[in-house]
Amino acid sequence: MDTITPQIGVATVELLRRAGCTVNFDPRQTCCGQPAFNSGHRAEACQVARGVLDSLGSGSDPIVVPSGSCAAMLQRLPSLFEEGEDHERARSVATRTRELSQFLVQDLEVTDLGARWPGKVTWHDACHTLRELDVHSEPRQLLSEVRDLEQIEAIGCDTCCGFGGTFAVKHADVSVAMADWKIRHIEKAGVKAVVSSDISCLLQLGGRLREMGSEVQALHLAEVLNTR
Amino acid sequence: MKPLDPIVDLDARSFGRLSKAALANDSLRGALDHVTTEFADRREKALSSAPDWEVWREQARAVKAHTLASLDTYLAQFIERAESNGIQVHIARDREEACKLVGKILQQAQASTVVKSKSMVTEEIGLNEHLLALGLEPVETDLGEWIIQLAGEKPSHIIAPAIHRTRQDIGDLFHTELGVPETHDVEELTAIARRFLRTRFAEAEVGVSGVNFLVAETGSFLVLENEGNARLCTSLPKVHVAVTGIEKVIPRLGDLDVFLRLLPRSGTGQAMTTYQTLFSGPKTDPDSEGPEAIHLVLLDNGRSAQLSTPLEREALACIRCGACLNVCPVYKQVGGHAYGSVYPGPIGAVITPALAGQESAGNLPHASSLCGACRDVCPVKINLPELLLDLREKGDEADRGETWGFTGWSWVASRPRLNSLLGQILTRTLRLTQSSGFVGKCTSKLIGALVPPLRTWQAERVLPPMPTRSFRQLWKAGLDSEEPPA
Amino acid sequence: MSNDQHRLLERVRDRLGGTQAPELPPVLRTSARSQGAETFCAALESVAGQVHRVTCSEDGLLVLRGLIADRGWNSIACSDSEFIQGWCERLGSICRSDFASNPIPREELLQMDAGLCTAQIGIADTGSLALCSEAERHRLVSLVPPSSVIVLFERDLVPDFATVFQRFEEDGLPTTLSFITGPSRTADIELTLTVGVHGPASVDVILIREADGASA
Repeated sequence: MDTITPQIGVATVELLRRAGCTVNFDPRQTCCGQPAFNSGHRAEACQVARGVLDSLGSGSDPIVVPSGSCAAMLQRLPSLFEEGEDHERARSVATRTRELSQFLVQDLEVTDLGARWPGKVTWHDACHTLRELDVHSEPRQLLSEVRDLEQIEAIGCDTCCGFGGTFAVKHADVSVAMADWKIRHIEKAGVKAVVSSDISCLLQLGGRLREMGSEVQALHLAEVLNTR
Repeated sequence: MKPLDPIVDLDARSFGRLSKAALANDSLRGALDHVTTEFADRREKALSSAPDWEVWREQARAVKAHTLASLDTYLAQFIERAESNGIQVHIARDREEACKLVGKILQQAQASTVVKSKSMVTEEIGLNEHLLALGLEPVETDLGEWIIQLAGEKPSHIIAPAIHRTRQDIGDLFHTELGVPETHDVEELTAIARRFLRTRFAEAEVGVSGVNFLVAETGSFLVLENEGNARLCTSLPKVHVAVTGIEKVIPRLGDLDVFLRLLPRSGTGQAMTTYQTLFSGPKTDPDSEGPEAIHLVLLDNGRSAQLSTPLEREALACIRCGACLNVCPVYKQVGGHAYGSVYPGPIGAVITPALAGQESAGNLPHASSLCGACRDVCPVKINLPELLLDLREKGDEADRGETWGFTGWSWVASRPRLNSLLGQILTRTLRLTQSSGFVGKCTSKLIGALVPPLRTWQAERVLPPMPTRSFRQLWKAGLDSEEPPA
Repeated sequence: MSNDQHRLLERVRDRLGGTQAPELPPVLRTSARSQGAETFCAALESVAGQVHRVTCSEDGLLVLRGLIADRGWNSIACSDSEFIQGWCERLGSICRSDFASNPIPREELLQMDAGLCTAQIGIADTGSLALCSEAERHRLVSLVPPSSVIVLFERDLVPDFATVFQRFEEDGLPTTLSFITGPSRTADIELTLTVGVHGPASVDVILIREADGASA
């Protein structure tokens, strides 16, 4: 997010401020370690995730993450750091981690952020967001409050986009076939954009949409909610 | 009859190769899309009239967890009671032993024709191949199994073995192999199967079946089906041979109920399959109906190796419903044959390494995007994604490139300033590749050579336009102190 | 116990390494809604079975005569149950009974039009029938001919499978306990449902309210 899609971070910060929050960012964080962990490289994942413990491990503020898969990984940290101080810090991170829409709807109890985004969109349920964080209605509630926006449920909205970490590269042809299957249904829904809270999904779906020269955009929830 | 392919067409590269072939097969893709959607819809419908579904799942999970953690006790109880019922219980350590055992039983029964009902375990051990080599004639009687037997293929799905074939394929197959007039009508094709197989049930000296559940308390075993062929295979011939895995045992007769609620709904969306037969021994009166002898072969073949930890034991709880296949987005695109194992899909990726060995099957756990849809539908709550992660960690599938890649990446990513710097270099370079013209093309090739994953990614996916500044830079440049927007 | 069996158990024990097994929950007592005939009929009809409800055995026989005429049956394979034998005597030569001492030859059974027997238990929840091997010689007559007629008494209806298993846990199991829920079916070709594969293509249950003297 830092290097490739910083605009999502910016939109998230602005959105949270509009909702009345003071936002802090610790530049010592780099990555939650998920790419390595999911490929079975636990030691490397721990090495990287320690940076999260250092930067976010103390304190009591909620940690808002505009990416479901990262949030899910942060919640897993206690099982990666099982002992001593590291474990305490990991537990602190895990309990304070909130995915963006979870935070807005459940914690702040805010669904209307004064946004306006005219057009039809469809929500993509990213796998970790849906199945590990159990977030399904929150993004839809947020989108339903956006003026002039019409939400369409596409067939397969909760089917995996095919990213899957190194899977996207190891089995690129299958990964692309999975994305294309979703895109067929997204296009059938006649929408201007597919919206998700997961950056990897957006790179995957957006990547194929751009490759195909499609008119359909792949947007992050924060970007839509931050549009006036 | 055609000789069959090897049981598992499996090696470290096979998923890549086979999935590529599958993706190029339009007829297969169409069949898969239709079938997986249908199966999933039927399951959903069945669940809508099952308000206690989660209660049943938890019960089943708990029963299996207990049983597998005390498997020696329950196996001992089962064997003792089954034998006192007159069932002859044989133990097979691996595929070869199992085939030899069954072969011996058939030879002792002086069998020449053997009718078989659907059994994944007999596919796993390659029984038909072995029987053919002994000069016996194994006749598959389940419609889907018979179709793939005629075609010389392996099953592509745990429940519906021939689901990768369209009615056109099957009609053509029947016409070529059986000499019947060409038809593509499903009812007519089914009628052809009934006609051809009817007399075989009566001719066969031995019937071979699988087993769905072994009941320890009563020394009995249960076989479920819809077609009636399993009942025929196990009622008409003089000898019944049942082949199954050691993990199929459940403690009590009463436990069958919850599994009968879960399996038909999960598998085919039915509230109940047409036939369930509970066998507690051969006939005691020689004039009665049914076989004179029942042999039961209990197969290990790598299952005992999965008993060591609670997580691994979960995989043994599988009741072979196939629901995980039906919701798997990978399976949906490539089908069962791509996995190179008779057990495909998520459960296949988890158990095949234990059955076929790490060397040939170690790559299967990587043939998944870890989306978790399988875990949601598993009737016995197997944590499939967790098992896949565990296997990835334990396996040594990563080639050196990937290992070095992650080592290098973790070194960089644990140094925030270096990480940012390299990130900047990357985005600037990528920005160059996004410009048209000579420079763009050169940088593209260069970066592709240096970072192969990037090349693979960009072959079919276009990256978004690269930003000029990173989030970090924006934060420092004023984002950190902006007033809340109005 | 054989050596092989011992070795297997040892191997399993070894792998388990003395692990503490989690508790086994009690058998789930499900809350089936009803054991009534209406529930049974609705359930069986939903899977393409047919139920003919009658008050007495005499009416049941009438139904059977009707089926024979409608379906054009010329031969019926009958079980050896006393009740069925009572009907056979009245139906005459169309019936051929399957006795242990004089079984129907295979080749003949394969050609017959219908099979007739009783079921020991009916399961309301799913429209299923339970056939016990020692109670009656009905395993083949209920399976081989393409049509199956099964007589069930309402007093033999139970709510669900759980009840059946509970009963057998107490009383002991027959050597073969066969459950039948409607006609045979398959969806192995493109998941298109076809009724009537290897087992009977039609199942007609004659559900009798009163048992007038004759036992099932």
